[in-house]
Amino acid sequence: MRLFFSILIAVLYLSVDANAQDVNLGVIRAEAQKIPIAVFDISDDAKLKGIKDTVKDVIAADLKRTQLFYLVDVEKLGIDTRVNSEPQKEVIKRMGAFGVSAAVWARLSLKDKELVLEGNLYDSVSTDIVVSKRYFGNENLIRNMVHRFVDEIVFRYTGSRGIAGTRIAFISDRSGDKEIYMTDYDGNNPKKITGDRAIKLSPAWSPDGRWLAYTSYKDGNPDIYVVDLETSNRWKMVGFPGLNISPAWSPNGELLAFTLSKDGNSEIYTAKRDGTDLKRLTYDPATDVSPTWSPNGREIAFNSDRGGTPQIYIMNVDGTNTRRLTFWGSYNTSPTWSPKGDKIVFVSRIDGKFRICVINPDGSFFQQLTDGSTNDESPRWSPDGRHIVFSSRRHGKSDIYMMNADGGEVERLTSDGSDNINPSWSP
Amino acid sequence: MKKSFLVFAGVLVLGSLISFGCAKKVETAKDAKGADERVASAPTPAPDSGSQVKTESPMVKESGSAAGLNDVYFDFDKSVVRDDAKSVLQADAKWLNSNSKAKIKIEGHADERGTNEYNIALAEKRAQAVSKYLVTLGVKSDRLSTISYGEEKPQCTAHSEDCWQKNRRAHFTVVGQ
Repeated sequence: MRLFFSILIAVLYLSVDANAQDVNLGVIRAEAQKIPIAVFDISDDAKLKGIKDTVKDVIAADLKRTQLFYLVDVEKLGIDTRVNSEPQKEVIKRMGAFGVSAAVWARLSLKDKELVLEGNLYDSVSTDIVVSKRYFGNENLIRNMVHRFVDEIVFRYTGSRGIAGTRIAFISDRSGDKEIYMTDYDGNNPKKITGDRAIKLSPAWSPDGRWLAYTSYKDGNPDIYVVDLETSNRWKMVGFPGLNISPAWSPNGELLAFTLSKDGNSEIYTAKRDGTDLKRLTYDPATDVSPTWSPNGREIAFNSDRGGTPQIYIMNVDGTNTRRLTFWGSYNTSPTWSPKGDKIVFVSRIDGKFRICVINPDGSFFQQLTDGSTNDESPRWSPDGRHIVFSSRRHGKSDIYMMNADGGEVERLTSDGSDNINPSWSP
Repeated sequence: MKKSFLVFAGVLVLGSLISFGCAKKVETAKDAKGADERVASAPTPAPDSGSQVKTESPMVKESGSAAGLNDVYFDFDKSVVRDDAKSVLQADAKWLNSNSKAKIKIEGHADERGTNEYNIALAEKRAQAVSKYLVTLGVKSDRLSTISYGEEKPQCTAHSEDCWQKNRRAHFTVVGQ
């Protein structure tokens, strides 16, 4: 099939004049890349107030955010999606006949006081079940149960886990102090995870999601702390005189890179998680901050004003072979390497405003992703590299937003009236 | 002739795109049928309490102009001591030299614009620049310490150039006599 397709395209290219070529290119790049999917109405044997609607809404929102699926409203095609139990093959087939690739069905029930979410994914052409799972939990966990189901669907299609079950850590002053909070990836279910009333900054997840490193002024100085999310144990990881800021975990989780100013001005260092094996990587009288690792662990991008203005630089992990990545504009900061290694997202000051931009690690394909009359800052990638979370003042206070990696589909995640900054996406 | 072939080919291309899901068909889940998972909330540490913690500037009386020490201000993304700041620092040095036992902490601050981490480093350079300048005016360096707050402790919270200028500053606190 694929061979035939390629030959067909080749034939088209060879046989057409310039105008026709434009038209065909348009077809090839079209949105049809997304997989058309339909969702049955939820079968609800549990009959708990509001839960059915929540399941319906979360399935739709999660599927849309995957950027893999296109939700087809099959009711408009005259197909009744209300079912009391598993849908009949004939209905699924009818969806397939309209070009729908897959159908999702879910049932809520109660078993021994537990809430059960049963979820199936059908191939609409063969009517085969391709995913079938049961999730046990309770009313408070229903959103997480749906997130798990959608992540399973994504796994079946892509071979890697979806991001619906991930979380976002950030700093908020909603309690009056700058504390660390975590929410689900869609902004729901916020939880406060520090309460020491000192200034906190720069939360950073370890690659296995077990630890969170951050900067805190708890002892009157900006020091780097680590909290074990499973045991709640916290410890000061580095606390030299001067700055101890901007922690970033290595891809294998063994090392952290960070900024210290103990030698007179800010330089990039690495150390093990327990603070041992300290190594200095940069030697420059300028400001060197905000390290970020390449996913293969061989390079570190960072921010330096050694050229007169803050720009992004890349060096090898041993501090050698430093080269400048950004040359355009007078303020490029806050680099973060994408999970696949193909892009670096950063903040650029353009016409007096701070914008989220991306560039390839070889300096090509500079792209501005955000626009508007306010400032956007602190971009961080989702673990699948398809989204970017950032902070923006577009609605007055600073809030956390997510968008597709191409700058589309901006979604606001916080709106509590406080300043929310420094988002960081869990693995 | 050529055109009708194109239309035919176009229809074929469209057709194969629409049935894209077909080509992407995934493995069936016969084995997965009935796979159960218990969902629990993700591990979330209990917040550490404020009681075990020292406040970030030890309980120091803020001195400011009342004590005879005035703040100095900086340009955006700059840490050089401006000419207008030099005369302020000369007066500050005079006060320090006549209160020779006072130990001073110089706080570096930045405005809200730009990256928090870069601003902490920038504000540290501001505090260091002020410290160095005071030393050239005869103040002993062991009486001076620095801390950077970056953009985290603004004294003015509006989002205007007026306010930003007030926040790009070095501020003094007396930490010992």
